[in-house]
Amino acid sequence: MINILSIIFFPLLFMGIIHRVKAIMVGRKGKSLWQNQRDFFKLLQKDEVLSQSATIISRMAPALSLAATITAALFVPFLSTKAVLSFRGDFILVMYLFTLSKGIMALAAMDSGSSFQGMGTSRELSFTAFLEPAFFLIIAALILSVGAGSLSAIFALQNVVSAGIWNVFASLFIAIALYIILLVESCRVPFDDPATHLELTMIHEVMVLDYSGFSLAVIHYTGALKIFIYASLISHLIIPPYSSAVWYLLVLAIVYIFTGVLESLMARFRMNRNLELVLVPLSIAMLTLTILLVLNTGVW
Amino acid sequence: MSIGILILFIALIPALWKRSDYFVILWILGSSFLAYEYMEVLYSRSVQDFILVMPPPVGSVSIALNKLSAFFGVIFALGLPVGMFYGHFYLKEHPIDALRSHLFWLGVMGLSMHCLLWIRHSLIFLMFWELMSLSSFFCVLFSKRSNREAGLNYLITMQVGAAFLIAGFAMAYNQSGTFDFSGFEKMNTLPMYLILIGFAFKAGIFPFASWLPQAHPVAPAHVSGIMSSMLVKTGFYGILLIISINPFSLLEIGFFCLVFSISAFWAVCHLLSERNLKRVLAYSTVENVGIAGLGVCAGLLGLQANLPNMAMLGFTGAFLHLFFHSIFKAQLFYSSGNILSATGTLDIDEMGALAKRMPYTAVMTLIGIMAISALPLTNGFISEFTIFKAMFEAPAAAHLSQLMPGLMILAVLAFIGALAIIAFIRIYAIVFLGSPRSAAAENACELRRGLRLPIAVLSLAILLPGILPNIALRFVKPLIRWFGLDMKHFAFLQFQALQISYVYLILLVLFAVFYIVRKLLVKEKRGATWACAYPRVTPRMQSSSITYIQPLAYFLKPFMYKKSRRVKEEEVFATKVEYDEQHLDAVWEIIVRPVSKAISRFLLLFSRIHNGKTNSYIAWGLAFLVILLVWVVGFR
Repeated sequence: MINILSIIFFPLLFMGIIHRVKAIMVGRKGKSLWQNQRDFFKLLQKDEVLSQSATIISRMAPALSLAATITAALFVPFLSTKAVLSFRGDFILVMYLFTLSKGIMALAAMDSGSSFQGMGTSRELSFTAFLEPAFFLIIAALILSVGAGSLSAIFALQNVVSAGIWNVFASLFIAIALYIILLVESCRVPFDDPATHLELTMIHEVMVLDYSGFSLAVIHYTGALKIFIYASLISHLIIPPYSSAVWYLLVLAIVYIFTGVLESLMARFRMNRNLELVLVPLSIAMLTLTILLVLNTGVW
Repeated sequence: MSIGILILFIALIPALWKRSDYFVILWILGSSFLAYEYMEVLYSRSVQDFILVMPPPVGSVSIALNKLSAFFGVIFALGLPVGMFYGHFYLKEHPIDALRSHLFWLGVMGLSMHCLLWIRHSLIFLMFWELMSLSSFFCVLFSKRSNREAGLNYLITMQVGAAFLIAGFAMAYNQSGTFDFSGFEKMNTLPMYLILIGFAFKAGIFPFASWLPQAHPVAPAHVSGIMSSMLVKTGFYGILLIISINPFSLLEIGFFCLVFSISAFWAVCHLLSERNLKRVLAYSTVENVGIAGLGVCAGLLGLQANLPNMAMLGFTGAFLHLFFHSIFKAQLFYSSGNILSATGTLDIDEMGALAKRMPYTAVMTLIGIMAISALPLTNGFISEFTIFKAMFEAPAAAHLSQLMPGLMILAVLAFIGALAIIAFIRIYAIVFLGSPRSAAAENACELRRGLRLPIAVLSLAILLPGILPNIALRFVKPLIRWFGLDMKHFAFLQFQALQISYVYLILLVLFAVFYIVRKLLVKEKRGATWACAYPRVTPRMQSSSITYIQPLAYFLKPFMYKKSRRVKEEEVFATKVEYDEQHLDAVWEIIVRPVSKAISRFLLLFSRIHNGKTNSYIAWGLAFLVILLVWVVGFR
């Protein structure tokens, strides 16, 4: 129940942290943490303008994307370590629900027949090709470390302070890999800049160029929820198992603040070399897997 | 056996009178009898067995079904009549002169596919195997001139494959002294690999798969649908037949993993770059066979590493994937037939915005596309989920050598799966969405109901086991038990399938709520697509099939074989620049074509012999006899 409440309230609130941090870094006061919620409700009340070439796909895509992401979020541990739903091997379903949400949004972007949206789609989807194996290998590494189970169990049990110096390294590596996945999946700097205003250089934002009103609000919320899911996974990876929610919130806030700081300090990478950097989580996952393999099979 | 096969035989009679309607009705009738029979074998313990006593070289032919052939039999018995039904309407849309022979060979093809499953005698099996290759060749030759080359290529490839099979069967006979399939148990390595290669030609596995993308685009939609979704499965049936009764070492399993991974990866690279709609589907058959093969590999690894759960999951995933692939691939091929009928082209860059003009086909194809890219809510996801689950059991293996292949296929499968999703989103987006890219696409309209009905039936067959996976699991259960796999974990898998159904329920309810709320609250207006305020936007400015994969193509360059041509005027202010890019099949261009050219050039050396003079022929005959005499008698 706590988790369902956190799915509903936290994503947009924590997005506010990023905006606030960015504003403070450049010396502005920044908007209130609740501003995102206000924008969300404002957008909900507005009418929509749809492209002339839009079909039913444009109309159902945001709803399906949100439904898939929320369903995936039910398997993730948030404030309470125990996820709403869990079964053995549920991470496959979670990953594919993410893919469903991404895939239907890609179709919706192509639906408008705009050349910009086509570009954004192909960029965003090409990231997926390397992130999916990376995520699965990370899970495989964690299974090696803590034994098979469900997503929530795996992430709750694994932590930095668990036995063995190599395990610490493994956890830290996995946290870094997950953080890069977070940056790519939610299209933050250095891979993509959500605040950019030139269509040619956008990735995620250009995909939703033709959305407005209710649908746009839904899309914003879906994006925020996605970041929240990954940040929560990182947070649960780092904190000791079954520790109090305060620790969880603290690490979560650090992740968000770090994202904001990173965004203010870094420029984005070159567009056509982005994909090479997306390979980093995959390589980290392989490295971690090797470490754990060597540990577990006792060759060391 | 008797009634079903008999009715299918009788169905050949209306074919000779060009009555495709009676032909289809008889096929539906016969197939339902056969389906009942296969089901009976699958679910009851009794296995029917006839012994046919033939003259000495053949010996006694045992005609029997086991659970494996009954499983494939059900796939054929359910899939073939749908294909025939679609074919009936497709032939009305594309009338041909040679309707009689087309229907006849179509019937023979289906019959020989069924008969293959009953025969447990290698000679008779080969006979039906050849009959199937030959009849499907005649079915591929649809219109007069255009596709002769592709058809002949198919026939020759099949004959090369059959040569491997004959050699393998002969060596197996030498070893065991019996033509019966029971002689295949614990075979020597060489005959076993010969047989496996022979079957791999038919199953569409990497180095031998280049006939698929050649033959499928030229065949009519119903034939390519039947071939891709069912005929190819006979090859996989053969492979499973060998695998189920022979032990394998870890090294061999690793080799299989490698072959299937390369096969699927090669196919998915072509899938990404191909422009011809049907060729895309042909490559995806290779990809899906590769995925099912990886499932079998996971199963074998599980047996090797003594992980009963992994073995069960791997085999279950593979069987499910074969079954589901026969549904969604057929559906997509029939949809491509509809698209061809409506637009008159298969080049996806000539299409666009068909979703507005053919709404039914668009929705159906979306379901098929979701299934083939293994997205949740469809059956394709269930089988890939099971295979993935098998891989995630690998970390429990005791030894590194058993663990590594499992994890490697996990990564490969995830990568291939993601690429396939990208490729099929591309296909759907370019064919159905955006604005029309040609006049043909602009004037397309929805087709008659008969062409839509089979697709609707198959879409239902995609969604039903997709949302309620337990139906499909119950179907493969007897097979899993027959393989002697762990039933306790299977029951657990069934329980999980139920959980997935509940998750889907949540997903669908959430989706419905959001969709309805939006519909109630929001007032829609229509406006032009945002194009940075540029007023003269043309459909040509949309993403084309090649620009869409540009970021990935940069990465997959080493695996793509392409030829590009650029024509630019020499003037200072060039008014016209032409650019043409073609992605080609590397195996076909680099290996198959040069080799076949070299062979034909070598054979041309002997064309002098064929000079038309009787006396020189007699002289050749005499020379041959003298050589034979010397060889037989010898010098003493």
